Amino acid sequence: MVVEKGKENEQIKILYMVPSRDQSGKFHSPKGESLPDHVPDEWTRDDLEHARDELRESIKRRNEVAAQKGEEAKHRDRIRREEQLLRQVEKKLSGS
Amino acid sequence: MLTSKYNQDRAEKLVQRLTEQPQSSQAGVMANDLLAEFQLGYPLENLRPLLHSENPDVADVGAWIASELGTWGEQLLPDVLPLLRHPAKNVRFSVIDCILLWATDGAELSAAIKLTEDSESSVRWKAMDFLSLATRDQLQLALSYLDEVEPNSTHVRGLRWLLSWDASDANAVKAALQNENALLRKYAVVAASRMAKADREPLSYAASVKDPDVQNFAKSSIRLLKD
Repeated sequence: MVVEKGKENEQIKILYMVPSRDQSGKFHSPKGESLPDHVPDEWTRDDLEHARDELRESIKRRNEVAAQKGEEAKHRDRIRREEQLLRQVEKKLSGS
Repeated sequence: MLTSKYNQDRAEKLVQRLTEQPQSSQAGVMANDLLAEFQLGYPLENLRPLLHSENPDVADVGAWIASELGTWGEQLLPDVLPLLRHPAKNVRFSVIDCILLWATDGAELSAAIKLTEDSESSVRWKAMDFLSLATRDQLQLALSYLDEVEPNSTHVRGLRWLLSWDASDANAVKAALQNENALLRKYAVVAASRMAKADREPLSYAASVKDPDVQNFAKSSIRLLKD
């Protein structure tokens, strides 16, 4: 959640959702959003840590699915996109 | 309120290219780009031509995208249910996740559970994965349905056992892993996986059982538990 000041200095709470894994164990964006190609500016440290943990588990599960199902270009590309986002999240968490 | 952010022209071109060349070297990237368009609001009805394609490679792309939509793709449930019997194993594999997220009645849930007896080992693994991730309510719905329409099915025995206290007792699970019935051994390794966060010992034991499906599922569950 982001808290910003309005015109009258009132607090405006803007709700957003950090992507999470669903019941199948895969990382998903909320409805209306695609997988971010960069870390959203509004994500807090808690959000970053949550996204990091969820992405790690999702990637682990996707690699296991690839091992069982066999390599697929679409699945491999999805893993690549999640790994790219994870690297960005980890970089931001490290402060660099 | 959600505003549509998808690019209609781009999405239509991706559908066309994936329909014409589902095995092109860029198909993996295109499938993910099309998934992103659906996530941004491209109407899900546009996935139906892929799901119903007679070309198994095109249906495979459609089923994979459906499996990546998460819960909000549920309007496609009637389209993916028949794909549990699709001749292409990867199509059957992909739609199992759709059933896990979207199915609301016992008939639908039990159709996925029955793929624990599929001719392809990868699909059997995925069906066991389904059983390990399903909620108790989902398992109960499947049991109630099967108990009514196929009361003598081994799945009724397996599901009833999986919902019993025995399925969370390490010694009972280890005993069930030695059952003479191969299908009931699958239920036993699923139980071992479901209880693994509390007690990993039955899963470790399952990894040594001389049943390839049980052993493979146990080893994959152990890999998923590791940090």
